[in-house]
Amino acid sequence: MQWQYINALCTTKYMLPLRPNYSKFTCISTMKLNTFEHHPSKNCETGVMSNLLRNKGFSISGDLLFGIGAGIYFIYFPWLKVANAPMCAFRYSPGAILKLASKFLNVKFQIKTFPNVGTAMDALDQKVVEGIPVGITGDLYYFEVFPAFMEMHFNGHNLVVFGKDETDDTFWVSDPVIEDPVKLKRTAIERARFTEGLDNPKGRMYWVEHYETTNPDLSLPIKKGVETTCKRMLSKYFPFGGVNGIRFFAKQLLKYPKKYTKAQAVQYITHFIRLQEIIGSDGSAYRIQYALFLKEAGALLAKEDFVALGQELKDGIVVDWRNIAVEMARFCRANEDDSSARYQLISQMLLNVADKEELFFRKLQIANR
Amino acid sequence: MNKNMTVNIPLDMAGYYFLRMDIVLLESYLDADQRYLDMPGEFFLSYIRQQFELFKTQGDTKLISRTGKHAGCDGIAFAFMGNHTLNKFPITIIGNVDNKTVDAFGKIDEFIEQDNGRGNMY
Repeated sequence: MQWQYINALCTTKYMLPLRPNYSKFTCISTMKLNTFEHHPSKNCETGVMSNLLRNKGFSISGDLLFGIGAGIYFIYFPWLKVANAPMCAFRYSPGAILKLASKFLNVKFQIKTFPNVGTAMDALDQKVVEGIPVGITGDLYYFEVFPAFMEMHFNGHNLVVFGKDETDDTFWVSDPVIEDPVKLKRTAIERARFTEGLDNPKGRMYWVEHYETTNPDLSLPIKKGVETTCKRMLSKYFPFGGVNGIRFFAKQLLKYPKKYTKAQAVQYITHFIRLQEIIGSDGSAYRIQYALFLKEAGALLAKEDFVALGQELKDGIVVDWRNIAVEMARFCRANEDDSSARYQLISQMLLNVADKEELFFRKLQIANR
Repeated sequence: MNKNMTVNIPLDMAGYYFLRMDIVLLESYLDADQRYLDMPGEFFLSYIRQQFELFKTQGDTKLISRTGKHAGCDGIAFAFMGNHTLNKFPITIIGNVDNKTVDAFGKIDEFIEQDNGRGNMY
């Protein structure tokens, strides 16, 4: 059992105790001593970025990075199928948060992809020998870090590799959405880093290359991040994204009874709930994380408007998204011949939340000036 | 455990709602008119709600999952424990990982833990 295994190891001289103070984690492998502070986070991308920066002395939370990297979004693009369901996302594309946040924070992340698994693993081995913790991207399914019931193919999962144990050919990894660091087999990492499909991560690996200061002025990055978020969410020119995307989804939902069988509709709607409530977001379509960002940013910059808007988001829009998930779940459970009333209800709820989000982001735009 | 029962909730969702101790979304999937663990659905949900509240009162912010089997069952079983107290949650889930279906709910005293080399969900 993994957990007992870790605790058994903790009793040896090789590690500091994981519990109750398990965040500071030292791994003395047969190859290299690497010290790494593991901090759990809601989202893998911002969690990995935050952990890599913290280990350089740059203390910044995953929530702040999520806001600075303009992570919150909505897109519904039914012509593209992902996981056998219309493409839908509540955040910006994987990898985009890291790029934008590092640009606004003036931190250089070296990002590399590789032509084959051999060179990718050699580069990873080299970084571990050099004592540099690196973020890697791969398929969640093959990493085998989540419980079996959470198994799913997603090529954008991130975690940090910070040590290696040659005795059993494993790597020490810090996955920010898991409580404690774990050991992963080399074969699992190899398989996860090179998968099939258009979004093959191609061994994507990244690390902190350069930063000017560990205590930068965050006011400008926060301002730019909020500005980008509002611009994207309120964009008039892209009908499938932002608040317009939510409205488009609401209208498309009304066509489901004609377009799809009940079984198909249940499959798609189950997928939406999964994206909204389960995958990487801690629920309510990443809106909880954005509310936390606004609260933290407001406290940092002494902007009461941000704190108030964060609270408004948490008390209003977060609850609305959750109610939509509950109603969708009821739709999936209900064994009705005619579900048109339920479609109408969910569609209306989506239109309401779109109106609320439009108002919210307009207020945020004003508060950010 | 009622082996003939089918539970209308995807396995990953049931597991995740247990991890998060999210009774609202669990209730939205489970049917109060059905019977779970030889109990009327209403009692079963009320029992889970009480247990979630108890774990939260004791300081657990989420549950951690354990993988194993139930004697006489083919499916994989998942048990849960508090992330702070490490107390065992009395209800387990038995399901089919490939089809993502929940076959039944079980009791913790019938659960046999097996190492599947996987980590703990945060």
